[in-house]
Amino acid sequence: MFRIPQRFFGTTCPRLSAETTSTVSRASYPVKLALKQFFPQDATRLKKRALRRRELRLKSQIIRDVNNLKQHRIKNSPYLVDPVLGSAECTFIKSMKEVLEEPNALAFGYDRVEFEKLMYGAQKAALDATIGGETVTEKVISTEEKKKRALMTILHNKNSSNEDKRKRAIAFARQEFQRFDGDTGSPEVQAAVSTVKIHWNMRNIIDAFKDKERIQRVRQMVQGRQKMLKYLKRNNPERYYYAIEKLGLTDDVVCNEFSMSKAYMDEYEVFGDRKQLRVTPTMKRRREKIADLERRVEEYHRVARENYAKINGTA
Amino acid sequence: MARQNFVGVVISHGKMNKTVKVRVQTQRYDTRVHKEIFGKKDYLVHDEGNLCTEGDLVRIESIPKISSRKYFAIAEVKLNEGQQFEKYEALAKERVARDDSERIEKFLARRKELDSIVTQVADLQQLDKISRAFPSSGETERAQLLEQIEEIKQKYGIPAWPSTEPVLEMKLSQDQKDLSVLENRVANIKVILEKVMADEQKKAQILEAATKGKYGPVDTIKPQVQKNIVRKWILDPRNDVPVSL
Repeated sequence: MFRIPQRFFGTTCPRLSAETTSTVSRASYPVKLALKQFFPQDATRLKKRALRRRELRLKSQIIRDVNNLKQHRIKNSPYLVDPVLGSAECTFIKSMKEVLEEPNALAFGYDRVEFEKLMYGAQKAALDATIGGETVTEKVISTEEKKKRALMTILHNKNSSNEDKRKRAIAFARQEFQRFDGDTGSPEVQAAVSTVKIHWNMRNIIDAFKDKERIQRVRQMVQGRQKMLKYLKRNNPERYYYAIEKLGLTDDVVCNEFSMSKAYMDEYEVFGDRKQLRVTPTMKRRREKIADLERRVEEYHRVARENYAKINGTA
Repeated sequence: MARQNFVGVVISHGKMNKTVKVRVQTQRYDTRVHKEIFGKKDYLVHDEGNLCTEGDLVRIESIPKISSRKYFAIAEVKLNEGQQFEKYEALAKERVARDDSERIEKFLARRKELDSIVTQVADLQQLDKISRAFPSSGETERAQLLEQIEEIKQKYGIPAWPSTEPVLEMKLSQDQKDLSVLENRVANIKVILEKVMADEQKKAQILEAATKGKYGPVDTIKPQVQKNIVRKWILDPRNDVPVSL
């Protein structure tokens, strides 16, 4: 799991909620029941003493293992959403993409309705400039139609440049978050604009994993957004919660220490199967240790469940 | 003896069961720089029932030491800022849902407008074609063409064709009108301002419309500020100015 560092100033606490859900799913038996040794009928005094000692030894081992695992899970709980791209269900990002792909929208921020009107006006002017007659009229109309089609090709969404699309996406973000007309400076607008830029650049990063400069720029933008949102939380928590909800982020993502490191790339599979970090022997050993611990605790639970059934006489 | 008492802010919760971290601000006078120096100290505080959340303003009281770092307990929660956060979170969810539905509505309205404009333009083009074909057509066709012309004219409420009135209202022509209005007002701003400021009733009307009660009753606003607000109002071509030059 991607590690949340020790310092944590958020209100929503994924660790605590994760802990509670994991304990709720457990049955009502105490895990310590796993230590229970059943004395056979014909056990000698020495045998009984040995079993009791075994119980004592198991007790401290179980407590230690369960607590260690709990601590590990608390420290290594995952973020609620992707700290860079936010939630996948974010409607703001979805609609941003829709706005850019909408067939009726034109490039450079031109309005399609106004365009239609203007083209009609041009045709009308061209017609008025000529004398009547059907052939002339048809000729003028067909030329004007060609002109319109040419303009439509130039201004069509499919043909607009990446830069133009980016600008329109930013304008959309600004309009969604602005406090008043022409507001470009309030923290939520700045955060929204950097969110758009982050999404924009992440698309390129996926294609070009060697573009280190761009990765660094995005890293800085993520940090800047965090900083801006933290400021907003201090100053105007109501707006802050609105902004993060709309941007598809969560409080723990904003308030935790985070860097868009190679560990993040691997954890969230930014480049698919291509891993950025080599698994060192130390890492391997550490992972094996945790897996072993998990296995042991699972075993305690199984034994405890069996013992509970034996004691209470339920199969 | 009274117990030691502090007021502080909860800065961390949820990591330790029944324990929160509370930051307390201290103040002392530094004789070297001759001013108050602020310091802070963080305490681990016992919170039976895990009531406090981050951001709460709490009063803490000393208790007999219950662990190596815990010798304070929450006495009262003075300001429940942390609970406010949860409320804001719920509010934000509602607001975002509302925003989404509004956005969809706007989108549909835009699409509808475009469709209507496209059909209107097509009809007008048809009208142009018919009126051009009219002189060279025969007697029987003429009646049919006239019928078609009448139909389209009625559909869009056009009194006469070809008409001198604009049939489609463009944003550009609206901007042009606004610009001419603005130019006129800029040229005569001094006279308009004088007239408005002299007429108490009109002035109050404009101020109320411009401020919408943002700065309290309009007569409490300073005269110079009043003048600025009125000037801004006049220089917006969308607003009516109730003064004749």
